[in-house]
Amino acid sequence: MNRLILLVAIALFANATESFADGWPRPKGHGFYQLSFQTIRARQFYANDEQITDLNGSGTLLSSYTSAFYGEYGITNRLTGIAYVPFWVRNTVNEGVGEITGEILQPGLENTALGDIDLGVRYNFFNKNQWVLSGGLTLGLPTGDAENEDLLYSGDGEFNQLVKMEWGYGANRWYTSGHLGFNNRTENFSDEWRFLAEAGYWILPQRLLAQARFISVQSFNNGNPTGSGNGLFANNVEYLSPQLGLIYAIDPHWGVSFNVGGAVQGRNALAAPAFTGGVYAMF
Amino acid sequence: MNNLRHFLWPTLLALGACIQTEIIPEVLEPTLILSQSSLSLAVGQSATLEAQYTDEQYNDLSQLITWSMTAPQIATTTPQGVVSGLAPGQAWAIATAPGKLTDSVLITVVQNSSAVASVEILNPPANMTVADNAALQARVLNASGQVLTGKTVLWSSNNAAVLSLTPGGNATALSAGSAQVTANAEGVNSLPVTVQVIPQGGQSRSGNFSSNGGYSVKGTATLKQNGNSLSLTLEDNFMCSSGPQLGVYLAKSASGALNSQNSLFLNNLQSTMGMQTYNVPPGVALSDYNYAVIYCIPFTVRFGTAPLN
Repeated sequence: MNRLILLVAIALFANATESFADGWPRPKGHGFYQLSFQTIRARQFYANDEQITDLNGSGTLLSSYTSAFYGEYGITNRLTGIAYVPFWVRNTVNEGVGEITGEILQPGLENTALGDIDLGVRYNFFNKNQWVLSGGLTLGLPTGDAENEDLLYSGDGEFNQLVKMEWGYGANRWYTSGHLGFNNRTENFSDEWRFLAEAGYWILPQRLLAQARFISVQSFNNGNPTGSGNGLFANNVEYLSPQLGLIYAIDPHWGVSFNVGGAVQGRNALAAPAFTGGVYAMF
Repeated sequence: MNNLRHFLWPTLLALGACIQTEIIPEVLEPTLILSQSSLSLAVGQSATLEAQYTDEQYNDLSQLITWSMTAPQIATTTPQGVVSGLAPGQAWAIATAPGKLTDSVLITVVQNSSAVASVEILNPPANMTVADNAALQARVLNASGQVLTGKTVLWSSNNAAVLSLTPGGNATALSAGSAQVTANAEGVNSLPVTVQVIPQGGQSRSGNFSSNGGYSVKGTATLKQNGNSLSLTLEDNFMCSSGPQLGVYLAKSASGALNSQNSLFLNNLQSTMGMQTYNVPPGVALSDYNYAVIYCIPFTVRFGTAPLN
């Protein structure tokens, strides 16, 4: 069951990996759109005491797959609209059969559903000498399945309100950006701090970009310690996640991206790397 | 259009996300099973005793069983279990398997086919409550399995302070504990039968839960025998993390996944807080299981385990 706790954690940082270069607004009428696929396959997780623990007594594989759309659109030169739509979330647990008794010790489980949609805005209020500062608001809508009987959730069932301060600095071949945010959560979920720092370097100018990213989510532990009122366990999720990414620009409008990351420390988070591949367009 | 194809591959990849079957290692308790509990032989007759020993991996290692005899003047045995009757009387053939597993077969050697070869206690009570009375019955058979009538049966208890017996078989439960009852006819003993005597008001085993896997389970579990009924009670101080399909189990071991061989499912957890009672199916003894477990059934995760002391 703990596995499932973690699916929500993964979904949380999945959308963090979708964007790059926090802080910069999209020019009015211009957009960035990405279609991505992410997979995580795990047999262990960081337990509530932060120890890496087998997912269950039988240790069968938990897999999570997410296909998602991410888009940014310049409503004005300062105001950018943002949407993250995980339109296809599939979670599976392998069936486990005892090698001696032949008994099914772990039934095979699966659930495919829509994930939690994020809608947000970024407002740029400072843009000078290659520095940008912006404020952001992201609303996490509980559109995912948080009532699956097998606990294979695709969402956490609560309404997130993430307020964040974003910054960025861009030079000729490199940039750095990030954000610090406070996530207010409902349904007895604990509130969170969220931190992201990112650096990018154009290995091949305007063609191949390498990225390094560091994400931290820390819980206030001010919610229900055992989950929400509907029995969810996706509460008090914490992790530190370094990530590496590559973006290859096919032309000025199209490109592909690849990202790998995982938690190096955490609570209620899967102890396995997440791989994300995507195709993006900018118009 | 060419670029559109780039959008399709993630979805196509995702369609391959299927459930697979994995083989999970299991560790079982070694078992020694005898094919019979008693055997009658005529003087000079031989027979082969059979037993099966399986190890933790369920490997059949019956060839490792060795046999010995407690009274070699009555009967002898080879290490392989070939028993020969030498003189009238009774002896125990002991089967020993690795890990000091032992079990025994009652050997009765008779002079002729009309002699008493075995005594069987009929419908012995597994449990009695203090101050209960019971009239025990037995039947006497010859080596051919024919019932012999008119034989005098004498009864005895190995713990008269717990269970007293008149020679005629009237039993009185005196105090809590266990006693072995034996019926004897013409010098031939029956297989002993264990009778548990329970105090008035019941007998119980209990212990406090400790949490497993980062979940929280607190409180006391009490397995209680009352007459012939056995029940598990989670006491007033019981409190448990919520979760899907939590089940209440009796288990033989303190850790590991539960299956039908090492545990007994009682029912779904009624509530995550407070006193609740679960009936244990008939045929289960107070001593059969040593742990109460709160278990997440779909994910085979222990939430908490309580030793039954």
